[in-house]
Amino acid sequence: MSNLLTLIVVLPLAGFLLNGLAGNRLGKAFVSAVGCGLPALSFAAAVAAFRTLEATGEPIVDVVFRWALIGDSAFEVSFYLDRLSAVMTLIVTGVGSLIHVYSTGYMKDDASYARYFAYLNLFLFFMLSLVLGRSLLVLFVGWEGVGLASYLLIGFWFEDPAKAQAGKKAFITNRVGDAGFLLGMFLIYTAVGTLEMDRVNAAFMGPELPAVSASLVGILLFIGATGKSAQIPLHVWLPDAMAGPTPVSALIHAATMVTAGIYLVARLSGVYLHAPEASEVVAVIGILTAFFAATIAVVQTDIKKVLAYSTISQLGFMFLALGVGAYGVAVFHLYTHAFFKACLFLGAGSVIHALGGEQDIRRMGGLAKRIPVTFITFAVATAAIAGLPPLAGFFSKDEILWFAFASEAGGAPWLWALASLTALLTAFYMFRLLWLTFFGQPRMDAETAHHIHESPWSMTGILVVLAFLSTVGGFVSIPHFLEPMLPLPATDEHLHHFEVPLIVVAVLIGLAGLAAAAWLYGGDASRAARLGARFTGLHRLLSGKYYVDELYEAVLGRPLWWISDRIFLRLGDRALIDGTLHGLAGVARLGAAALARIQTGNLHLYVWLALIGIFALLWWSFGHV
Amino acid sequence: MNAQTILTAMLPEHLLLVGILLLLVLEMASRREREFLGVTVLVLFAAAFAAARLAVADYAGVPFPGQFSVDPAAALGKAVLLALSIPAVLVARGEFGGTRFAILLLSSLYGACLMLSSDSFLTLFLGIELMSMPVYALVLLAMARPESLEGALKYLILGGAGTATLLLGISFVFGATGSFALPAFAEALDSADPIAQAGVVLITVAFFLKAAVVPFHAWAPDAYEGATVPVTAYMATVVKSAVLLAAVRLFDGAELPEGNAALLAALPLASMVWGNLTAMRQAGFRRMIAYSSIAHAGYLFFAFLGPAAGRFEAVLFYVVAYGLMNLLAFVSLPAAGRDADRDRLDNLKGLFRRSPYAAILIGAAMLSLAGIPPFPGFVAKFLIFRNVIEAGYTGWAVAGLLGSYLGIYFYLRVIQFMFMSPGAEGAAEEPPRLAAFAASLCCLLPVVLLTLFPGWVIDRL
Amino acid sequence: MSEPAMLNLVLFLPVLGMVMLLLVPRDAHGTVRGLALAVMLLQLALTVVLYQAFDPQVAGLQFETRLPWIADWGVYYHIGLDGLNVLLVLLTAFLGPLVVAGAFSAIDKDVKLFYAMVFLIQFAMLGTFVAQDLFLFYVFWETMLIPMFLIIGIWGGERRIYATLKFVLYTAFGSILMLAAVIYLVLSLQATSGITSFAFTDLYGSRLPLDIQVLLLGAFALSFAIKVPVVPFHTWLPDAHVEAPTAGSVILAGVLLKMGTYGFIKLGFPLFPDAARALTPAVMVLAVVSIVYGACLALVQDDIKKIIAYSSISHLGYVMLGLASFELIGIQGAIIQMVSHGLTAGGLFLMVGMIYERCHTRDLAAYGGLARILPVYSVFFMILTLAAIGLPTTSGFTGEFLVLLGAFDAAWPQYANGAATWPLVLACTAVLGVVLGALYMLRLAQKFLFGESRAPHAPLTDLNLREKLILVAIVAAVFVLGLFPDSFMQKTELAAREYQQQVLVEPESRWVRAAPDGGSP
Repeated sequence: MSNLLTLIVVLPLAGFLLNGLAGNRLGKAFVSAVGCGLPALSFAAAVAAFRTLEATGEPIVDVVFRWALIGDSAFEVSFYLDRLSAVMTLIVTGVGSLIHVYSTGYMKDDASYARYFAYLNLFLFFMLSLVLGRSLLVLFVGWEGVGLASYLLIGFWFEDPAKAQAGKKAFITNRVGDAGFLLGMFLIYTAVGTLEMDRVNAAFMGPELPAVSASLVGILLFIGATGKSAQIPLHVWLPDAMAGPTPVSALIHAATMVTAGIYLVARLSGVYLHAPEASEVVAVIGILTAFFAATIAVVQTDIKKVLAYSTISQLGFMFLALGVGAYGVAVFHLYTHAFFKACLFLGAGSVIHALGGEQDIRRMGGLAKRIPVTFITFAVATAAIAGLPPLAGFFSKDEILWFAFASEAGGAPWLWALASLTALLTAFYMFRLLWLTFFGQPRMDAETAHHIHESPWSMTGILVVLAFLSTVGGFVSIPHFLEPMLPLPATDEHLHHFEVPLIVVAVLIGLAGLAAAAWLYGGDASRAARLGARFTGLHRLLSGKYYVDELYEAVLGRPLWWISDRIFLRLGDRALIDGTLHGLAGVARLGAAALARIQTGNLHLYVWLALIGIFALLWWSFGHV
Repeated sequence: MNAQTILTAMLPEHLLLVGILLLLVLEMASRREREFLGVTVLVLFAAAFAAARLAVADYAGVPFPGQFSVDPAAALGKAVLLALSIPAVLVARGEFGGTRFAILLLSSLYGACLMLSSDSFLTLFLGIELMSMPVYALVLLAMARPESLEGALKYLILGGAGTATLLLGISFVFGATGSFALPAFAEALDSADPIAQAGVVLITVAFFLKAAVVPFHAWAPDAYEGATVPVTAYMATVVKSAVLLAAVRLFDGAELPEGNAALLAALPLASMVWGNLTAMRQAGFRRMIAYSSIAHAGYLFFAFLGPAAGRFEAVLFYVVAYGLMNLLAFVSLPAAGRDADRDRLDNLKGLFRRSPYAAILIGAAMLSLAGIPPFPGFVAKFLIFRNVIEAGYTGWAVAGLLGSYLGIYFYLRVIQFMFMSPGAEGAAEEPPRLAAFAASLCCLLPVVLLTLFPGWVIDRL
Repeated sequence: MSEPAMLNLVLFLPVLGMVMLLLVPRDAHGTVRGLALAVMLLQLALTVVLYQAFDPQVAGLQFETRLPWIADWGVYYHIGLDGLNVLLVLLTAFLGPLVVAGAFSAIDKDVKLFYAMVFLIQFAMLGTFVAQDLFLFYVFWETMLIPMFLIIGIWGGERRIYATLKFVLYTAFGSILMLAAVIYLVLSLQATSGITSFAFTDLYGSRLPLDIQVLLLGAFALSFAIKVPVVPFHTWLPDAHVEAPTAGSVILAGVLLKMGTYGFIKLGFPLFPDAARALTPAVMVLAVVSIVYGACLALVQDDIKKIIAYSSISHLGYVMLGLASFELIGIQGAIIQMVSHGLTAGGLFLMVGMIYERCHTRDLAAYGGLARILPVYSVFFMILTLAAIGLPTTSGFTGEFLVLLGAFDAAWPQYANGAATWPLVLACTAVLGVVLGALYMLRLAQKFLFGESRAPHAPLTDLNLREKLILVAIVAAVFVLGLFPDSFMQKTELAAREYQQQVLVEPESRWVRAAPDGGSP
């Protein structure tokens, strides 16, 4: 079936249209059926497509229509399935479908049930055109589209100005990145003459390079990636994005959309392979983001905020991998991360659900026995992200650390060191979260405590599935699977004898984090407080998120407003332009007044005027003879 | 011999004469105003028709060699003047009892016709005076109001000054060239002889005075305001047109020497600016039109910068468009208890609600006077400025266009009053007056023609 | 019916409509409205037929009519469709019925005159687009002033007189200088080649000395730039928009502003190619300034109409940028952007009008959370907002993307071979403009649709059928142009290329030998 890919993409769109236009009238059953059914179908289609891909081994191309033909430059809307996009498609449709099902339980009592599923389907549609698009143009359409969906879903409960505000912030921040993306795209077009990414890669891999600096292209596109994947300096939107419903955070802001940046870089690996400078930037930004986000996560008290910063940090790991040329590894971590982070978010959702909306971990605790399924799955996912063997996270993270250390495409000990430190922090804050949430004395008020209940199977079931995937997912070696198209970078032989020790270190790190958290939060609660008291300054800095938002507001927001209002509007428009015009009008009016005053009706004056005129003329004419 | 010529060539003049006599007889016989007006209109129509026929037949005749000759151009000019005065007569209904108005009008027209056919300064002078004298009286006719007396007086005095300068100029030219024939002027225009130059200047000044060009314009506002609507209309359109057409005949073939260009550009430009600016502040319709006419005199004299060949065409088309539009505005003016009220611009407020068609007609007139397409006023301006640029005076042309820009505002102001201001309280719908309706009709039809087929008209000039 | 005749019919239908209106009694409002709508719909239908019949493979004019008008001066009644105006004519005809229908409930004073004026302006705008003779063009161009003057002045808001006079005096000033330039140009052609003609095709590719060309282009450009409007000739626009009745704003934003950009692409640049090339930097700078300046001003407005008004300035900046890039992609993008802006801004103004009829205020602060009170309304408003932002799949994206790509495509080589850096800087600045675009439009949507629900005169009724139909039409058009722009651009491609040639390479022109003294005889 030739246009299978189109089918994958269009099914969720149909869901969006059905739910959007008719959902409210046809009732929740219908909405759920459409909302979950169509994504599931498109997952099935994706599997089918994947099988054909494996059978033939040839990338599947599916040309839909020609968007524009200008001169000899054609812009086509076409979809392209190779192993990379196949992995992404499966993750998106698979995890996506799961989260849809979860949502039927989580959003059960929401007034705008239909709108919610419409948005979710819309997101899937754009996300799929992002990963399946053959040309950067289509990818960009998806790229902006998921941004829109995210905007709508973050601000889903728009009556609360703060939530709507968060959506706007996400959109604007992404727009900044998109500007870079656009420039990169234009540059590619000018240099290569096409936007179809397989051709672009080919052109850069080909005998003679396009006449343009690959690094410039790479950096411009990476700016776009920092926006979508919440990397420094455009990471500020993601924590606020937690304003959206929790399943949304799981799907969009953990598993799929935020990984678009990684996908973009991996997809254009051909460019980055020839862009050492760009790759270095990617790696450094990645590791820095990973580290700083982790430090912030350590002190967060909102369960979702912790997860949000952990997401930023994990994305940083992926970029680190990309930066050192280990594209397959990055995708590997993307894939495992999709499982355990989705599991964590949904688990958090289940907790919040159980506590009737409570998100502050300082008012949780002792939930382990009350909501066992949630607890177990959450614990598994935590272990996975902490990188404890044999869970999924262990494999992917370990490979990242290894290539950060040994890759000849930019690997360096200091990268490894910082990455390991970050890993330690990760393990620590995750177990801290686990402890504060599930162990110790219950800290919520009796009323809430009384209502605590395990979530319905539609939610817990999904948690189990995801926990299972986070457990076994690591045994599928994505890097190896992608090797044909994303070869792993060469590693320095002299370092090979470090490989095993590093693995051990990694495991120890994970355990260390666990131990620290257990010691700090397991025993009497005052320890953490005392520690915090000792480093007040640091603590404030971290809980203040390094005051980046405040910085931007002061450096960008207010000046822009001031210039627009004071300089452009008051000075430019009102004072200068209109001022001048009104001035001229005033002059005319005065002139009119002056002239009219001459017309007094005084006859002598008239005669004088005439005489002066006559003599002036005579004098003038003599002057000219 | 030329008794025949005299009869045919001067047919329009004769008809006017007949009309005057007829009216004198009627004066004794009856007292019914309608008849007077009827007769006048008939006479004017006949005369205009006769002139037009002469023009169409390309008739050329010289009844009085060296003094009076008729060529198609002259005949056409006369036809236009006579036709333009018909609406003025139509709206005169109810303005003055008795025949005085009609008789004075006809005799003034007789003078105008004389001017257009004059071959010598003597005839020209005779024509001008014959045209002007009755107008002084016409202004006086509205004795009801004090302004009219004052206005007439000023008009008389400054007009007299004009006459004086004209005579002086003529004598200078005669002194320089030894001839009273009109071509002497063209000759003097080129000569370097200061006397001749002085003569040229003085004669030009005389024409400026009659056409109300700054700074010889001062009489116009008071006179226009003083007179009643029909007379103002007559002065603003027919008299001014006659003067300009006469000027064309005076300059006739003469190209303008570089040096003298400024003579015919500077003051007209001044009067565009002056007229347009001052018009912004007027509260009375007639005063406003007076200043607008001062500005238009400016545009008209610009035509003389252009190549001689195009002058007649440009001026004639302009006076037709300009005259028609002015008349259209005047005849559509809503009536009011007192003539003074009728003149007030406030009287126009909310006119659209009271009598939409009058408002629309006045509006169209204003836009045309402002020179906004598609109205004939635009084509007329275009024609003039085209000639000016063609003659290479681009700078003057741009200056002139900018001067005309100043005029847009006060024309729009009238429209603003009529359409955008709330109506004057208690102003009821007005009964359409038959005469005024007829008048507006006989302005409107040519206007439509000029708007849709300016080309067709220009071909026939 | 032969197609040229049909184009004439399309052009004169509004006049016919005016005549028919004369026959309708003054206070039979229902009849007047019905008649107006019927005529507009008929016009749209005929235009669509013409559009279908328009052959993209044919360069130059189609459905041409050429009759002598003022034969003495070589002035002809000469109209026709070509790739440059065909979409704009379609847009004008498309917005016509929407404007009329949109005003059904808003206008209850002097209804007859109102629709007469709408007809008149429709006539003038179509005329401006299809005219192929400079004199005719100028006549239509100026005629447009009259109805707009009345529409704003009679049915406008508080400061309508000030606004409408400002509009007319601003515009008229430009036109006056243009008139001088027109005359001078035609006379120069006469002097150099002996041809007395106002036909565009004869006047194209003037070979006058550069300094003269620059002066003439300056005169044309001033009048076009005022109409677009390009900063700093824009201050009439916010006032006009704010004071104008909804229909006025829609016409203004939808079509009228395009007359300016159309003037540049159809006349300004092709008439004076040398000057055009010489002045390109200035034009591009002004374009980018407009993009940024307009966006920044839109950011700090609290009057909904003003926000959209300033956004128009920003969006038309993109059009100018595309036109001045002289890159095929950029030009095509600019044309699409013109249409797109007509749809989005027009639609947004219609929607502002709808809310104004309900709440009688345009003050942003008075509103909030309409998404809860008026869900349907909010959906449409959101879509149009996103289209204005240029979100993919909407027409706004097609235009902006192509314009920016074109500008960049033109700029990069110059930078790469070290010729010039400024075009690249400008292109990049323009790209950053998309951020500002999102900033102010989302601020509007934010305060307007979200937050806790409040609105004056609540409870409000959501859109009625008439309003829904209007908006559905616009939104449909927005998506069609965003998803399938190909067929539209095929119709314009040849003309766009021709324009590019006219400016960049010296095409054969009627200006055989350059005028020694600058052309004046």
